[in-house]
Amino acid sequence: MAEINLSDEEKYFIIVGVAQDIRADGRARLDYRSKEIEANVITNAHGSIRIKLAETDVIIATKVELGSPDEDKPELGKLEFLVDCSPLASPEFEGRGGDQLSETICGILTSSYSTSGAIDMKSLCIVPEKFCYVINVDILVLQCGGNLLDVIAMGCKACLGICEIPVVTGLRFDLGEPTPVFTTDEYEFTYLDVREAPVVVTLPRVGRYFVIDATIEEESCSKGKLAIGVTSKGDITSIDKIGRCCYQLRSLAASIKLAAKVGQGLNKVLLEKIESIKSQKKQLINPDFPEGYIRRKTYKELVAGVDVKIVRVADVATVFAEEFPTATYSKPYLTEKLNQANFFSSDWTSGED
Amino acid sequence: METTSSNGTASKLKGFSRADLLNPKLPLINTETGKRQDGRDINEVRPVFVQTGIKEESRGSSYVEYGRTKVICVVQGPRDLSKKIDFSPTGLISVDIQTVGGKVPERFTTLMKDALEAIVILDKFPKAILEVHLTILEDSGSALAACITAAGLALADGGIPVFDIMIGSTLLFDGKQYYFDPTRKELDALDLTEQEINDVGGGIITLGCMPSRDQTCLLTFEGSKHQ
Amino acid sequence: MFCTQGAGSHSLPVSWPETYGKMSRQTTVDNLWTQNIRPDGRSPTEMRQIKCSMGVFDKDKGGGGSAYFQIGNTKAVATVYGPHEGRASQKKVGAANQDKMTVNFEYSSACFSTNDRKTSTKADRKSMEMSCRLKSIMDNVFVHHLSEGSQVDIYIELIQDDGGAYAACINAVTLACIDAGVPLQDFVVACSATMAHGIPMIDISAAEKSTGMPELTLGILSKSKEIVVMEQNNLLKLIYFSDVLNLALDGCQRMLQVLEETCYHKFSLLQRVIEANLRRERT
Repeated sequence: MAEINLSDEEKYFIIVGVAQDIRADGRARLDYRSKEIEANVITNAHGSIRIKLAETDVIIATKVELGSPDEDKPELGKLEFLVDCSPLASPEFEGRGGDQLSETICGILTSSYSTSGAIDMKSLCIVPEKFCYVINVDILVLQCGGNLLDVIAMGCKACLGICEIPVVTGLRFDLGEPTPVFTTDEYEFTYLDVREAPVVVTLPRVGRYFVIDATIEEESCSKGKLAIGVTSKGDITSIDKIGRCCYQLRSLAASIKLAAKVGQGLNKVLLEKIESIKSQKKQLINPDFPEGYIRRKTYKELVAGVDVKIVRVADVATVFAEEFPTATYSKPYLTEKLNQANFFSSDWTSGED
Repeated sequence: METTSSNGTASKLKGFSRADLLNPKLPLINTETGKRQDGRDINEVRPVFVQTGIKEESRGSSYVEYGRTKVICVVQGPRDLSKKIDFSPTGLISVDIQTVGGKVPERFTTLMKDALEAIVILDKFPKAILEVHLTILEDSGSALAACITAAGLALADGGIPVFDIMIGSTLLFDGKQYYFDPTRKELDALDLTEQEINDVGGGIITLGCMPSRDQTCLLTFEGSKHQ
Repeated sequence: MFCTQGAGSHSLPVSWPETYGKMSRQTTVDNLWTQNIRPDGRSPTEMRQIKCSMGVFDKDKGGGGSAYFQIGNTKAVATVYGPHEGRASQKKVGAANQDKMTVNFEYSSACFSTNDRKTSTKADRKSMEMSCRLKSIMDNVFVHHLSEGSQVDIYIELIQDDGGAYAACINAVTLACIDAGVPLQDFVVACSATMAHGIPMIDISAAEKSTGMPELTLGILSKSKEIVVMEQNNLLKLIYFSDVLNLALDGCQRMLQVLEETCYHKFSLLQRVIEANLRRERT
């Protein structure tokens, strides 16, 4: 983990503060900082999330591919995680420097998602033994400022929740071999059920107390931490000890209870967020636009939190000029283009933001 | 104890038919005898064999058997840091786990390294590196637990300053019962994706424990556990 | 909008805006060409929208800086650490050229950046080549004698590649270096241009590139107008070359305006403080 060097006095300040339940940023031991979640930041992925918690900044994108199931699990789809610790986050990650951290995080994610019921892997199978969906969850760490594992796990859950899995419309038989045919309709997709997907709660021990949502300074005060996967029901899906620390069995039991409580809360907030992103998208699937109007924004922009605007064709150029003063669209040109090209209903702004 | 096996093979396999044994999802426990496939009680561990000092030219070494699971551990060093690595105020540990004709999950190495860093008094040898080489000769279940025990013994054999030795153990929970020291067959038979297990929970716990300090230095759990 | 056109055999579905309705893909594209409209609705001399900012990461990187550059859907982030004292592992290299600044470049692209998912993210040949190319470009403008013996680490991450990624990376690195205060002689600005149906076009998108249109990437120094990078792939007829080059030069000029605006915006506060101080000194 990217660590920073603190002097003994600074460490003492943090540890004593934690003991008195006042952390360096004014929080109590069990307070979580607020997080920002931005959806669909990568336009060529099936679902993407940028999640930012204070200084930690992560982009997660899911891409759905066609693959074949493992031989020993012919009826299950695949879920694969790949963490890329970019040197943007810390010079330590240069070259192969981030590999160890990546592998640790990948391992924890894989083990917490391997539990039954976390995600219904059977729904990801298309033709048993032949074809299944492979969902690749790619994680890019842009900035690493403490509590990285929690942020990544939350992002993964959100990203899987909004991942749009294209529907299979049929099977084509080539020389007797069936090949799935996917829909060409952008709006024809299904969502994964992520209600039972786990989040990870990391509990570093600062001094004699466990804290949640630690800053990078607090993490460098603790020798190690427990990473606990928790579902929305409060069930534990994985426990991993990271770092050079020892725990007494009594404190372990207490910490697991604490993690379950915190994890339930996180899950609830996340599911609400996923639902709100989905419902925004839903508005667009059946857009009811009056004639002579065009949709100003593409659904991806809309889902990203931009207000829906339905604009009269005649006003498009004005609205553009107002909204994008720095853009290279000029008003006369735009009007001319709109008049020339007879495709008012077409969504020609899509892909361009 | 009545034998019901059709071919009457080893007395160990009492209570299991041949068809049972070939079935990949064979029941973990025989309902008639209350014993496991290999004749153990559920809270009985496999025979353990340990030996230290098996390799003369190394600092410390050990050999551990948990039933058919066999692990060799060799400790070398502490040696000077190579020039590639920057100065370090405490000692460093490198762990390398190999297996004969197979692949070891990357997680094992990370987990072992964390555990070893927790028990070795690293302040005693600054600017030096301690190498721990583990070889899994045969993995018939609970290999990580055997590795922990072997590493603890090899460190003690080599006279490396440690807080405590460490003992590893694995526990299997299939939703109904806890099984001590599961074999590979039992681990394979537990299918975490099964719905029944989903309802009550189930999983595998590996624990590294420091007996005289009553602390854990390694803990990993996979599966689901209800509160 | 055509962003999935180059999708590989295993990539899932090719999206096509439903609003194009019954028109087949080819007829639509042909119709547009005859009206001088490119597939994404731009005119030949129109660039995609540019968004850029400096100091994107709120964390103080110990004298470092960062920048984000986005053109259309192509997004690049660059971070600069330093100038700082050379690291131990690189001191040996530094000792050989004590009179120079050691520059350490690392380019990587996210595995979701292109339509075909990349399985490895680091140290592949393409990334290393890109690092070398970017380094050789930036070496033209570093003022080495101001930070002798020190080291600068420049990391660049391509988040999404939708055409013109090389140019975007160069612009991002320039901005990040300015943000970090690494002494530069001049701006390096880059822009791409292409050519189809006898019409030179600025700022190629991935959809256009995948149809086999040539891509010319041009990078110039803003003051001296010297060309520091010129790369072209695919077939471009020689008679059209000067037209395309001129358009790319024009694009660089426009790009420069955007970059300069960003810098002014970033440093206007600083400037005001300096001006106020000067005024106070005069009185």
